[in-house]
Amino acid sequence: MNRNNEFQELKKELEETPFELEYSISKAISRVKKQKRYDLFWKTPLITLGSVLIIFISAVNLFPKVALAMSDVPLLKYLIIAVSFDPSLRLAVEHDYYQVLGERQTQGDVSATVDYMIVDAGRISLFFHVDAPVKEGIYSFELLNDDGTPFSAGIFYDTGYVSGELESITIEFLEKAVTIPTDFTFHLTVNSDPNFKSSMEVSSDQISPAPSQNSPVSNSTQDTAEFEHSFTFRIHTDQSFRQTVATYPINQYVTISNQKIYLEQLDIYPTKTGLSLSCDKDNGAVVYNLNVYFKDENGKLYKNPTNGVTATLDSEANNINSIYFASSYFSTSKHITMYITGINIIPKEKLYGEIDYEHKTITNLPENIMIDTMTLKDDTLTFTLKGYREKASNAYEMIHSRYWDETDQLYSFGSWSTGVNDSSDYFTSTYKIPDFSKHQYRIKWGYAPTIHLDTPIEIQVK
Amino acid sequence: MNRSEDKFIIQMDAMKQQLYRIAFLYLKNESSALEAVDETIYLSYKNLKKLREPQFFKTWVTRILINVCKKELRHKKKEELLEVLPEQGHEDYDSLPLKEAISKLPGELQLIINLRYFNDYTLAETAKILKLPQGTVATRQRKALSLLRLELEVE
Repeated sequence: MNRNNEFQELKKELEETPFELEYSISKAISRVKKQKRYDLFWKTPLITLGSVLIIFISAVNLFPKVALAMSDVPLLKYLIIAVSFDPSLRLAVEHDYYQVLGERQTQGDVSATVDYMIVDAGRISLFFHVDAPVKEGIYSFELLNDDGTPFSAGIFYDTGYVSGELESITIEFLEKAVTIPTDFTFHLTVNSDPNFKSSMEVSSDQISPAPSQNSPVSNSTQDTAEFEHSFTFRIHTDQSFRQTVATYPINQYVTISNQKIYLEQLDIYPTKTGLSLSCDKDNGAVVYNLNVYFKDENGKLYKNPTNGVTATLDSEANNINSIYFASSYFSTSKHITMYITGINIIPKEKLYGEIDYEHKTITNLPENIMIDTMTLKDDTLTFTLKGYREKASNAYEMIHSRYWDETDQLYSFGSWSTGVNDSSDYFTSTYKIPDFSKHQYRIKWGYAPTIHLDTPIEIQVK
Repeated sequence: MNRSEDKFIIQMDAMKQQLYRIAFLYLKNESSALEAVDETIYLSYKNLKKLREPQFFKTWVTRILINVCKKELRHKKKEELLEVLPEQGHEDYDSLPLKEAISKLPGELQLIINLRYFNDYTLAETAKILKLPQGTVATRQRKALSLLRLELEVE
């Protein structure tokens, strides 16, 4: 073929762009607004500690030029845009996999409407909006079983809403033995204080038996009872949704970097895919991450989600025991192949680091991590770790959220701040330890550089 | 939604396919290109106030995209830094399909072909994005076209 003709053909070929591009702008704006709303930046693979329930809060701003009508259930297009950040949720909505709730309650000049719900055997996503006489405010919520006990145990966020815009809450059920409730209560408290300033604190009362002296317990509620409005919704989950999952056994062992790993099964839900695995207890290192993706026969890739839970660790918070990916549930593909391309391991003897203030260091410092600053003031140690971003725009947990003293007393970093400079290859995380002089403390490392495999391991799953 | 956000959306909507094509030619796969575009739009929106000359929005965003793509390649350790333009036998490119021949060009030449001929950037725009004199861009453009045996307008 004539070279110039080849050029014209190639140019024509490039005119087709993927469908996902349509959501790039809304995703980006949503991401920036979410960061502005919260003072704490947290974009990281979220490794949980094997809790039964993890609540992941995703507050999503609407992109379209027209805000929701005051009295209408949002048009479906707003739901589609609201889930644009999650390819799996978007596909679910496009395949009509959602429940319309459309229940509205009003108190004075504030209304709350629960609009939609997406449920499968591993997840509940609720979509609601608040209409208030203020532009934005904060809300908190509780989710209660039929007997009145909370099933959203552990982590509550005070998070923000924008009046008239669709917000979402997602509850991920990570233990297979836990079943999605048939009915539950969604209790929502909305604050419409016109003097609201954006802030966020994490509170937890589910840390293990040791007292968590370093955990702030109070919520960020202000003394503004007159602006608080409480709403209670009774939600029913349709059986056809809540038991939906397709399971494919794998039952294979792989050995990577001398670590033996058992790949158990793949669970494909409409909203996510979960890979269950376990690591041999005789391994010389803890495996805290595997780089895995899936591909179908059409070449479509299924990777870790960019929001929400991407993996869980075992009950000792050491080895990875499940990894999550975008869902292929609505795909017409007949075959799926798993590719393992890398692993992150920490030798067991280097798992913990002793804090040495005198030398401004922590022992067993992993590669790619350095101590940026370490200061002691009023007996509170503040230290900043600097980590190399292996992948553009990624930050990760360099240490676990818990630490110990020489008596093995357990503490928790109630909160920490992470800073990212977009033009830098590094990011920082700053932690505080009060009463530093009273004990010798050790932290647990949560990072090691990725060991990339020269040849990915391929396993046909489906 | 405010006015500056409106304007950003309109401008970015007009550019997004072009950004994808640039990223796709640079990174050579769809998912990496999509990720690069997502990251570029995010960085552009986040740093919009730093753009002092709004008339250069297009070149500013394109430069961000190229930096994002370069960073991605660095992480994949596939990028070859262009220090000296190596001499290649003309027959090397001649025998290859055009797409493959372009991918074998030195990085800077690839970028120029990518921007100028697959995405219709002017010589001036390309020079501004790459922070090169226009004369240098023109020279390298001629060299790239010669290597590829393409007879296209030089401007």
